[in-house]
Formats: sequence, C-alpha cells, structure tokens
Amino acid sequence: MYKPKLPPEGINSSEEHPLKEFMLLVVASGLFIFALLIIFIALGKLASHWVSIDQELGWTHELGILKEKVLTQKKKDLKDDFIDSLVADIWDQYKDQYETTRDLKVSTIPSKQPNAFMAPGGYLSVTDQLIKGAKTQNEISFVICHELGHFIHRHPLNRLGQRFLSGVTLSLIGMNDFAMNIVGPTVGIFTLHFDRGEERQADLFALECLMNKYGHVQGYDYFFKRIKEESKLDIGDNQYLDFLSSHPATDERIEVLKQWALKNNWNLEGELTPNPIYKKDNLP
Amino acid sequence: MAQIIIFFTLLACGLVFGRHIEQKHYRSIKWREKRLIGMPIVTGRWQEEITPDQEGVFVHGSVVVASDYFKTVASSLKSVFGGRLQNYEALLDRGRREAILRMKEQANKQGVQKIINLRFETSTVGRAASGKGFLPCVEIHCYATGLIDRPNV
Repeated sequence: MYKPKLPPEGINSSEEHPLKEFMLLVVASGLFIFALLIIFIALGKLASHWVSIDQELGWTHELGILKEKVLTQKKKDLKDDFIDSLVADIWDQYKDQYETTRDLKVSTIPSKQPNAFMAPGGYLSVTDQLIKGAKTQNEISFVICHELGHFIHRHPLNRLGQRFLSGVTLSLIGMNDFAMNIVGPTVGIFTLHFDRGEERQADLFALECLMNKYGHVQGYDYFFKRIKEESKLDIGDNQYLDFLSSHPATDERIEVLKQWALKNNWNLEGELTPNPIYKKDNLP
Repeated sequence: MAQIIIFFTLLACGLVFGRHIEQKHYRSIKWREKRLIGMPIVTGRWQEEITPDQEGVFVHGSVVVASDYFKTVASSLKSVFGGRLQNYEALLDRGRREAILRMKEQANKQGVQKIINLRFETSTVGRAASGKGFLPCVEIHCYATGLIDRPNV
C-alpha cells in the first residue's frame, strides 16, 4: 500500500553556510578589481607618455577661452595680479625644458582654507586665504611649485585617464550606481597609497623649484606649519588616520624635505621675500 | 567612509537576521509538511479518475517573499562570475513550499481529500517589478482542484 513520505532536504537549496561562498566571492572580486586597478594605473601612465605637456596645455585651449570668459566677470584685484605674475615667473623656468610656449591658467577661489589645486590642462586654482595669510612669497611659491610638480609629473592627467577608464569598464561589466558607490570608495581607500606617493613626488619637485627660484629653500615648511596650526589637527602620530589620508603626515613631509635638501647641499636658510598682500588681519 | 560603514552594517544585519528568519521558517515548513503529509497532491488533471460522487473545489495559496540585503549583495557578486545563485534558491524553495502549505491548509479546512492539477505562477512585485528596486521581491501563487468525496450526492 502507498505510504506518503516527504522528499529529502537539500535538493532545491544548499545546506552550505552562505558566508563560505560570500567570502570566496569577495576574494575573487577583490582580485578582479585589483587587476583592473593595476591595468588602469598602467594605462593612465601610458596616456601621459603619449601626450606632451604642450599638447595637454593646447588641448584645453578652447576650454580655457570659456573659463576666461567666466573669470573676466570677476573683478581682478591686487592678489590676482600678484599670483598671476608669481605663477608666470615660476613656470617660465620650465617652459624651455618642456618645449612649450603656453601658459598655465590661474584662478583664485574664495575659501577660508589655505590651499591650491591643479586640474588637467594646466588649470591652477589658488584659494585667496593661501595668498592673504602667507607672510612670505616663499611660502606661496612652495605651494605653487608643489602643484606644478603634480602637473609636470602628469598626475591630474593620469587620474583623469584612470577615472575615465575605470568608469567605462565598471559600467560595461554591468555594475550599477549602487555597486559603484561601494566599490569606488573602497578602492579609493586602498589607492590612497598611490596618492601619497604622488604627494611626495610633488613635494620633492617643489623643493627643487624653490631652490631654483630663490637660491635657497627657506620657507619650504611654512605652509605645513600654518595648516597644522590653523586646522588644530595633526595626524602625524596617528597611523590609522594616516592610512585614510591622501597626503603624508605633516611632520614626516617636513623631515623628508629637510633630508632631501641636506642630501643635495641646498641652503636651508636664505633671504625671505615678503608677501605684499599679507596683512595680519587676514589671518583667521 | 560613512557609506562603507552603512553598507557593512546592513550586510551583517542581512546575514544575521536573514539567516535566523530562514532557519525559523524552514523549521515551521518541515513541521507543517509532516502534519499535512496525508493529503496527496498531483500535477496531472486526472479528469477520467474523478467519479460522480466527488466534488471539485478551487484551492489556492500564495506567498510574497523578499530577499534580504546579504542575499542580494552576494547574488549580485555571483552574477558577475556566474553559477548557482544558492541564496535565491533557498528563498524560492521556501516560497514554493509555503504556498503549497497554505493551499493544503485551506483545502484541509474545506474537507478536501486529494489535490489534483497543481499549477504555479510567479511574478515580481514592488519596485523589483519595474526593474528599479534593489531588493528582489516575488509572489508565488499555486492553485489546484481539490476533490471532496460526497458519497450521498
């Protein structure tokens, strides 16, 4: 006689713990993203070898005209003229070496933080607080030289190439906005190491640039000391915060620069050039 | 950074609570399946087997099941490489068995002795139906003919 019985378990579902498969998937995805990252970095660097500095400055000429139209709406003042001439003065040292007659495009942006940024195409943006709050021209020159170091070493162009390639590839493999929001910052944390490497490269360039301009490197550490005082936050001794920062720790940067100057027998002391824009009232 | 912390928190919640609910549901399913094992179900129409002293009634059961955060993320990762989506298999297995059990419980109340012509329908519901939703959500509906013996009819 027929006796009903239940079918055995585990036919349509797995008894395996879901974490086991998940961990395998995470490791596989990590390796996959790491491989992509290495390819993007290599391709980004290759792209900058194919494009000369003159070409990079030239390609953005049209965009530059547009930007200048926007900038002309803003009334230029003393600090704009000062920074324009300082950047031109520094850049003139390198024009022959990099076979270009084109200029960098400089703009000042209102901000309470002393800072500067270099975008692809030779767009240098300097915050007005950097100009107004520096006692010496040497301090501002170091920051401009640092940004110029990024430009000469093609960091903004590399980054642009890498972001473009990674965005296109992740879209092609079907990663949606959500996945990209997670993958992007996670990869970002682990690529900070490369960012810090670029910062060191730009720092060393800036020191040499300062030496070429003034015949000594005094003032190389003024900006670091100023931001340390103004931010009231030193991440120098915290290795965990250091890991999450795109810039090396402040004290470490100063020490590396000092050692580099000593190694090259560059004068650590010399005559400082006062900043004509500086006023005590400008300090926050 | 905050986005990453939120993501991993949701992932851990999905794993812990999702697994707890799944295990609890499976225990309930197994217990109810044993209780209702005496009611046979077939997928055939069995028209020729139906005798004049049997009454046919419509019986059905439906359930809506949603994936948890962990299952969805794990399955999204798996879809990059391909292979069995084990997390969704368990979800749909629970859904199908729950729908059958609900149908059997309804049939039991109506005095049905056996169920014939069993059919399944599935459809995505909620935001998942429009392809915009992140968490998949599916309705599983099963329906059949229940046969009730009425010797005096």
